[in-house]
Amino acid sequence: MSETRAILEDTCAKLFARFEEPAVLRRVEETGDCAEVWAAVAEQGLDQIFSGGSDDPWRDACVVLKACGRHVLPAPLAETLMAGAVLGEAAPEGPLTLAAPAQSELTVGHDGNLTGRLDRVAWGGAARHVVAEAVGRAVVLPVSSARLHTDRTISREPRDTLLFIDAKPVGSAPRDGQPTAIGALMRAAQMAGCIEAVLAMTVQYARDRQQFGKPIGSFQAIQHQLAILGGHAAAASRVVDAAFDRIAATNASPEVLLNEAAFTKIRCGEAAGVAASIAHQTHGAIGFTDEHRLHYFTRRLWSWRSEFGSEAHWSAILGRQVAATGADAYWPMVTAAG
Amino acid sequence: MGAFRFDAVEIPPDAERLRGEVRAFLAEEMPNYPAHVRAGSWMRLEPEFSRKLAAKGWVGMAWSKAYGGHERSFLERYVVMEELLSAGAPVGAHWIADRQSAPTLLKFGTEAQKQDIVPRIARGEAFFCIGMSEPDSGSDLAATRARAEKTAMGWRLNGTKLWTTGAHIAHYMIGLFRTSTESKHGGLTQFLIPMKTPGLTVRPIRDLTGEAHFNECAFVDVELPPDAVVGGEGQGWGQVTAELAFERSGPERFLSSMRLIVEMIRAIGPDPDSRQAVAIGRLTAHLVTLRRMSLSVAGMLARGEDPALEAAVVKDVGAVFEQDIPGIAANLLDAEPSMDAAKTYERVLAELTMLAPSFSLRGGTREILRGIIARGLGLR
Repeated sequence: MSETRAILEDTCAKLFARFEEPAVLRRVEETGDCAEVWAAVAEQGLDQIFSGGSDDPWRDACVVLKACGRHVLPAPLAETLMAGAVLGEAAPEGPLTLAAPAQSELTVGHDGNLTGRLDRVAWGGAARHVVAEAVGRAVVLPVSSARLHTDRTISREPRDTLLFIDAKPVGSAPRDGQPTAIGALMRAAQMAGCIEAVLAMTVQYARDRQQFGKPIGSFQAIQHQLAILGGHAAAASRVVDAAFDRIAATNASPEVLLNEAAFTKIRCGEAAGVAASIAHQTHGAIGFTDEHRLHYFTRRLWSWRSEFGSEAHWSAILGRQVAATGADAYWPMVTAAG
Repeated sequence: MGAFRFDAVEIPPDAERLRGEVRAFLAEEMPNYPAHVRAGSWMRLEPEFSRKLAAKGWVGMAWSKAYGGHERSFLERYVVMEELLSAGAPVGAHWIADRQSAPTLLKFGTEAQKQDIVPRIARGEAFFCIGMSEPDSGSDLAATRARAEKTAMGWRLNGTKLWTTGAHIAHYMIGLFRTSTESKHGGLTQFLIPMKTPGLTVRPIRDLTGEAHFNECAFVDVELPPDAVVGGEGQGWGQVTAELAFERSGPERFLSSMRLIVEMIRAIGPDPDSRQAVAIGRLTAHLVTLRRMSLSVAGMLARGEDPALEAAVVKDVGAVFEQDIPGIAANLLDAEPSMDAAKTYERVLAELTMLAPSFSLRGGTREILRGIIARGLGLR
């Protein structure tokens, strides 16, 4: 990692740690009010990565997205960044969010205004603007012009429904940004960071917790489970880092975005399931309580895993593409993917 | 951040050009290799094929020219290795010498050993086997009992080495022998042993595939000169640990079932049902990820760093992936493994179904690797 990105990671770690306390997480989960967190993040300019705040926005975004997951940051910074990735210079002031095209239904009137609904929008009520798909373009709508139904997912992050009637878009961008792929990459990167945190937390617990007169981490049965978790953590992190590298190197070509979304969402989603399972088994009953902080991480892993296309969704897309390309082109495809 | 180091690696353009050369060579040299033969890859020993690769400069790629090497980069070597393996080239004859025996000699050997033997390895003329495991010393390698005693003439070796891949065609073994019983780890020494030395007998062991990939090597009063020691007397444990990093770090640790994936895609055809599409997509994401991890390890080797921990991670995750594939392949096409070579898919399925158990045994068992990873996580 370059020195500037190491500094960026350190900045995120110090800043996000303030909001990683269960008291803060619980308050934001209960109220949906992330204003204080957002203000601190915006003050550091972390929301500006795709709006001129970085010379290498994809690689920098990767660092920040993983940090958002690692510290379960209770604010729509990941969503703001990736909405920025879709819109580029056209991005308005944040916080922003990104509607999943599969959960969007917007129709256009003759005047260009939009009517319809966006379902399960992450942090919908907290965002100033939402990026959605309409008539083959990415459009920007002010959340203030929507009727809002608040809802939660098991992450207890807001997943709101926004109803628009004859709403005027305040901006738009070409759709090659591929909103579903960009959303998938966002959740994959968050999962990779979150799994790292779950691994560290679980290793620490196994070293501290004593049973039968010694730390449970000294038992081979526990060690091997944590080794499996370690392997998944390493795989998730590597596939995500390489994906953002590759996207940066190809100027975010639509084809690369789609492939990398598939590789990362499939691999990180599977890793998330294993990581949550081993972490809970190792933590025992205390890890299943509301009091323990583990669930702030595992509930997000389960939720993120399903968003912007499940593993099955992306595996089917990738698998059909592989089958259509044919057996003899398979290995060249793998090496070309880098 | 994180418990492991998997850094970005970029394959240089030179290495990508080399990839094209290797593909062209393989298309020329192995057009008629049946898929089930390709499935064996580095388990298949064809000295003639190895010599052709050596003539292309693809053995000893990263070694000094002073010892017959070609001074190419580790990443160029990686590209050649992965192309050979993914095509199922029969690279077994020189594989061990190229991967770990020559690097061990270059690192720890005497000048005479290096000058005498390493150039012959690079020419594809000297093949090696590894004498580590024994009847009572498998994962517990430091329990090695085969012993070497000092004599007036040099050394006298007695004992048995087991599961010795390729011993029946190898010219040399680098073997681990006990030279002192005072310390379990400190009393071990590596020896360079010509396989023709009197007193050394090689007995092939048929495995469950019906073929003999590995052997038992019995040593009865095998006399070696004083300069047969590789590295330091009593330094064997440390040297073997370094050697295992080479043994575990390569692309052979996740490409073993490659032929079955390819034949599965061929058998399914261009219009998969949704179950097949999902399975192929999932395997592809895993394969791409493993390759990216494996390349990171190659990058560490290239920078002279010690990738022992990361190599253990890739080998463990890779073996789980390779071993899952035969079961998935059988289910996706409702196929029954067959030994009938005319049934390409079923024959490859049979080959890899039978080979799969070895993937998490050879080069360090799953249990040993997970122990290494646990230590890396701070649990030991």
